[in-house]
Amino acid sequence: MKAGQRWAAAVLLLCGSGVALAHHSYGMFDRENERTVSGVVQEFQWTNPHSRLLVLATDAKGAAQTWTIEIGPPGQLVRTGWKRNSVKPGDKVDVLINPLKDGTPGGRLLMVTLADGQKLYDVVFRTPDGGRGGAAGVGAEVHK
Amino acid sequence: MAVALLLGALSAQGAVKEKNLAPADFSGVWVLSPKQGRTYDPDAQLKQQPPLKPEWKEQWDKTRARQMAGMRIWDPLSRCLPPGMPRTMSGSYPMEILMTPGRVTVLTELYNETRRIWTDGRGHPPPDEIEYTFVGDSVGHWEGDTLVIDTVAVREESVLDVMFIPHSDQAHFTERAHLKNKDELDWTITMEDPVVYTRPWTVTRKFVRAAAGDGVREFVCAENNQPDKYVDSPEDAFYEHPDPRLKTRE
Repeated sequence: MKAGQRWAAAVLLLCGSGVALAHHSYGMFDRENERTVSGVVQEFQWTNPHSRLLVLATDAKGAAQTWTIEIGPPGQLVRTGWKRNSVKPGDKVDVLINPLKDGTPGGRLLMVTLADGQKLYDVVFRTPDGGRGGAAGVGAEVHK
Repeated sequence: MAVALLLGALSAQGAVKEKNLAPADFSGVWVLSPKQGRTYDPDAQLKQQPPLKPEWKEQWDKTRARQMAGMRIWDPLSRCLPPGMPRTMSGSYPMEILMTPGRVTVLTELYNETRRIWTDGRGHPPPDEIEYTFVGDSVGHWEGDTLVIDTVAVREESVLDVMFIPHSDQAHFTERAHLKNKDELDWTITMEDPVVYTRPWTVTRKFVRAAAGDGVREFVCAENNQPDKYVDSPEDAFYEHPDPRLKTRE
């Protein structure tokens, strides 16, 4: 199974689980854009209604910035392979996100790659073939 | 003496068992079926447009447009209010069902709601005494091995699902729950609302037994809720609350 197929399979599984996120509109995230932020984990909030990852990264001018990355709630993450200690302060990570529209450093997590290469996905992850994962309840993504 | 006590105990146990004997046993943890695929089948739903009265169709179209644009809409969950009926039955997170004499209890993971469905023969409280709640007042009875649930007095704050279709406090929900086999539970919800809908309409949820070891988790919204940041406008302010026309009770 290629990585892409695995992703698609994971995503199908997620769709099947009927994930629904609607704690807010998601309108603040730019779903048409994806970017990767590389940095060091400051804090991992394993909380409802959303988990959050605070990542310290360096901007183009060399200044340190904290990125606030929103993730699904623990109840959804555990069912997609996360554990409460999957990510720890001090870990080097690459986070693939839909950035915040207003330009402040933050976004909605799609995928995190850990230092050992392990990848963990969020329920809104977009598959390489352009499909969406777990889009069932994600507001505007229900309808195209 | 000891034998008599033992027999007494056994017959008491037998009586409890008999009383507990519902025609079907739904107990266990359930999740939405992969066959259903989505919490709310948008394609099927679009084909079967919700039968909204024209003024509510207009309002709903506006809500949907705002939702698509990422603008503020009324969503109780953003305020840490629970999903309520019927959204709490969306199956987006697991639910646990307990069967005990005279009642069926549904415990949901999303916002940890509890539905007490009385099957002991009682009816709803009188209209001037009934409490309006997010999950509403539910009584049930068995038709063969199908549990039929009648729910009223649902607060107007709740929406039907992530499509944000409204209902008023006059909504009346009739659910039919039937165990297809030991691992599949079919559940239909028929919605009637003289304020918002032109006719009754029905959605189907198909639940399957959760994987061994999976259970309902704690979900406390206030733990880390960080609502949206918005630029307020008069229109945004309208979406601070459910549409006032949905509240008709005095």
